[in-house]
Amino acid sequence: MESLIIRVSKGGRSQPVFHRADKFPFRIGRAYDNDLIIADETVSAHHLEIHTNEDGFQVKSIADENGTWIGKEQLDEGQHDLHNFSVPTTINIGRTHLDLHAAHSPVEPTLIIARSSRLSEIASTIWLALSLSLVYMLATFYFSYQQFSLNNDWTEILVNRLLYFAIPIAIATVMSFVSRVFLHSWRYLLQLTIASFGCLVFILSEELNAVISYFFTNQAAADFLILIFSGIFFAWLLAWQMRAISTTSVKRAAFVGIGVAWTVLGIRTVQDIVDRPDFSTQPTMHNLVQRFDIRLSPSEESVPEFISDVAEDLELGLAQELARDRS
Amino acid sequence: MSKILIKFIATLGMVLLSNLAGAQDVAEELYSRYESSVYRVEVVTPGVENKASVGTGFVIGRNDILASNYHVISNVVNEPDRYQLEWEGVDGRRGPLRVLAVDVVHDLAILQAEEPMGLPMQIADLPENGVSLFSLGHPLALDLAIVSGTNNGIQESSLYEKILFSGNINPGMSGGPTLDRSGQVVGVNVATSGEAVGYLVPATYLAELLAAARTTDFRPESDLATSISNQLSENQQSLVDEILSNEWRNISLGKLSVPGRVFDRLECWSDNQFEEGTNRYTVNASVCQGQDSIYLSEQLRAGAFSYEFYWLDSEQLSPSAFYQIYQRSSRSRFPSRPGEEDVGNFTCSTRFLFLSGQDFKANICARPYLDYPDLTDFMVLMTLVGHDTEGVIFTMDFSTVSLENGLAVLEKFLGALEWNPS
Repeated sequence: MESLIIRVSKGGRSQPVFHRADKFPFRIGRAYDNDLIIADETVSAHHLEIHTNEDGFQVKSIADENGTWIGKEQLDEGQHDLHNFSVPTTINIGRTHLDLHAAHSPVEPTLIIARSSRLSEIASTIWLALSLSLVYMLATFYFSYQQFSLNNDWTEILVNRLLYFAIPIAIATVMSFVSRVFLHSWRYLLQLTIASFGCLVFILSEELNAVISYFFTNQAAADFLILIFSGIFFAWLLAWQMRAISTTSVKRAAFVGIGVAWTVLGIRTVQDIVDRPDFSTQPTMHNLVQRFDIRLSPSEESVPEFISDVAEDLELGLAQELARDRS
Repeated sequence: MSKILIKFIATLGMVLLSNLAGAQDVAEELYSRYESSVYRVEVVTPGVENKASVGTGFVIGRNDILASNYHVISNVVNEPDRYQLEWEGVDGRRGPLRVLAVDVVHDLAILQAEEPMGLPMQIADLPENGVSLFSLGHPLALDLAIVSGTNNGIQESSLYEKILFSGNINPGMSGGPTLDRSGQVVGVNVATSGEAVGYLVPATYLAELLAAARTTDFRPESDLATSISNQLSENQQSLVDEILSNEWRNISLGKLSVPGRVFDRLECWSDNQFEEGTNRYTVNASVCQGQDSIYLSEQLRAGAFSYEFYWLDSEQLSPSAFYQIYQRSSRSRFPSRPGEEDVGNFTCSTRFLFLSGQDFKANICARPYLDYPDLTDFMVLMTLVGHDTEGVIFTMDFSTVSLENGLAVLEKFLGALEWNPS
């Protein structure tokens, strides 16, 4: 008679144990005289027996406690009848699952170990990690200098912004520890590259925001562009970071990245819309101005044309506000 | 020489004393004559002990008609379901009052009692400057008081005509009469700003309001809200007509030539700050502002007008640092703080404008008044762009103006603006 493969697993993520049964009747239980000893206190000392004949396999529950399920069907308690079954099937005793397979059944194809991507390879090189964090620091210093230049000299800026300079290093260190836990490897350079890159794009995006909202004289259009940009970028960054600290597949990492980034941005957008009506304050005047004029074509409107365009905009807006009040 | 001086001072002192004694006699006489014609006017909530507001009112035109300030009784007009109006005499008698008509622009109201209230006062023209006047009222809601002071004529730099009165008007005296020596009303107490600086509404506006009420035989106006709306509309129209018809004279500010004072009743000043050492940039400001506004309710003021040109340049700052300061330098604000029930949100139009060879970025915003749909709060913020370390910020705030009028004033401003590097 053909032998039977029993895969024993308990709830949770513990490693399953495989057992071959080729001598029947095959007895399973917690007692030491069983053919398969189950370390589960919810399983009876002698819980069940597997028999075989020319028709196939039968199972007999000899349990006094907690019962036996085959598939979704519970075996009658106390009757000790033989019950036919065919493989593959699942038997549940106590909190333990037994997956029963025929010995000749095929196994899943072998998973090919994914080689780390070309991007991660480059990102793990020391010169990229260091130069990116250096670029971040220079950019931070440059933008700080603009804010501080009125009263401070550069040493003061350095001292004041010390914490800002250290942000990527701090993030990379934390993520390295996470990587050590999950992957048993520090991968510090990769983490430093990702953190520096993320921080760099973050501060550049603030500048980009200023430029875009100067260029688009409509704040809503600028907000929308920034939203799309940050949605794509942060989803990608999150996915990359996830891949760097775990063996997650590309698909799952992308899924999580998009899910987290877009949820957060969605909540912020809704918050902005909800917060907006505020009658006691000044309007959000679009007073951002830029030194570089990056408009595609300078305005050639005459003053009367300009006034009539403005009138058109405002009449529309005022009518909307009044209509909103009436509703 | 010193003898003559002492003699002169003594004579002067005697003249002053006799004048003062005269003033005291007049005050005594006026007080006793009109004691029973001046009342405390109280806004009360039925069933609540505390008064919402207290002012003064006086009998005018007919023996059951009282005059007071609009701001004393505005709660009753705005929330008639919540508040009631009552008078209280010096003898402690009380009675109800109702609002007949109001003039919000000049802060006046006429009220009617249900019984004869005493001797009506008469209205007279404003005497010459320097003449003694006597103001009656209930300072801080205390007993009736008479305050003597002098007439200084109509204030030139106020948007809405007021007489400057050198006498101590206190809160609570609002709505009380100011009399000349003969006991005729020349003004109505309205505001104070500091020691012995009081403002009166010229009594001629009260005469106009009374004359209008007399034509309907003192029937209460059926729709005060519409009446107020019309008054505000007419007021902004005449203000804008005056601004536009005036001949504007430009002043030079940095590399620009900008309109100076666009009409007489604005207060203008210029401000030059040369920030050396720490700030390393220069500011040239020209600010013009109407000194007063129209009281509508506790949080609402109408008819305010101001504009400002703010020139910045720097020889020491980097362009980036300059622009950081530049875009933070706009300073426009409205005097009124309306709520959701008063106004809609601001709506803005943001555009670039090529003017006098230069690029400007312009924000023009307006919000509608829910009760007066033709009127808006109108704001302008314009900045010169395209220069490394120089720029100008132009702001204009005009409250309760129609959109067309706001834009018309803006258009004239834009027409007058010139790039004029010397």
